[in-house]
Amino acid sequence: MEGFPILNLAVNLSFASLTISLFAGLYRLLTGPTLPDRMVVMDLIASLVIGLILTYIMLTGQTVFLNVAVVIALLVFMGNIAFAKYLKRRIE
Amino acid sequence: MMEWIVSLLLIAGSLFMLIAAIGVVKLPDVYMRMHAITKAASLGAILMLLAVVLWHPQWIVVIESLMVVIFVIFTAPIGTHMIGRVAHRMDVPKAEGYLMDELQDEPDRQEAEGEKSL
Amino acid sequence: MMRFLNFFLRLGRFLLFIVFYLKEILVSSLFVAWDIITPKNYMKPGIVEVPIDLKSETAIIALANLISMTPGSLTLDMTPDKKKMYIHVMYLHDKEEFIRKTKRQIEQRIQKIFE
Repeated sequence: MEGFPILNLAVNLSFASLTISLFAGLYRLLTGPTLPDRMVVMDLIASLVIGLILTYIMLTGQTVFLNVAVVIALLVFMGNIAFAKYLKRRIE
Repeated sequence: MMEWIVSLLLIAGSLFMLIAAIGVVKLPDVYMRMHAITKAASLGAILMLLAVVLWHPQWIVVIESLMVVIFVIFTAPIGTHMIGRVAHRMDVPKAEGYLMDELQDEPDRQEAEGEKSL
Repeated sequence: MMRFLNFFLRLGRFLLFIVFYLKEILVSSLFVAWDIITPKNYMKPGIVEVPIDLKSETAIIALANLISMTPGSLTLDMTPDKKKMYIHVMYLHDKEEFIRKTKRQIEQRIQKIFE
């Protein structure tokens, strides 16, 4: 990371915008009028966490953390389906 | 040179994610929020993965990034589809100004939606 | 020999399909992003019923995913007999024109690849 000033700036900007996005998601998560709103926000937060992991890889150069991104991308899909099934059962 | 390209990709990806988050706060109802998330967030993830691949050109990184891209772009539409379907069955209130809702008008809606699947 | 040829033909079509999918994601993201960051919005939302002619399940899944990834449309539901699809549209100006465009641009392309 040392000796790359522009990349350093880009990584910092990226962290900043992802953090703002997380707070925006938190706002909708707390005030969202219905349960599907909150599920949608969970999807967004998973994307944001993948983005944070990728930015952290750029910061440290530790590419092992890509495994974490793979696992999160898979788990979120499973979580969505489980939630949808649960809601469907609750309606009936 | 490569440093500039990678920086631009990284910033563009995080900006798309920021736009998705602003859309979630700003858009009026569940269905439109799902529009913002499916598109903008998956494009953001793809751009940031491209940045990582260009900066660390190793085989394992390329393969794992491809896995993440495939999971994201093929499962995000399915996830939103299921949430949208459940939301419509729960009669989540829609925003003002809908021109038509043919799913609501369907006479045998219960029958059409009550089948197995999901 | 013929089977090999056939396999490579299908593989080539599938790769072209992936490229098309990525292009659709790019265009639709820019579309939605522009609508979010400009304060005035031109939304005319609606839920439309579209008849589909595809037979195989793979093709129907590809169609549903691709519709969710095109600008301003999102697949919501489907009848169990796989004849009709319900699509949430963000900019609905003319229902007939939307149905015609979807069928021409996406459904026929998928029919060529998967069937």
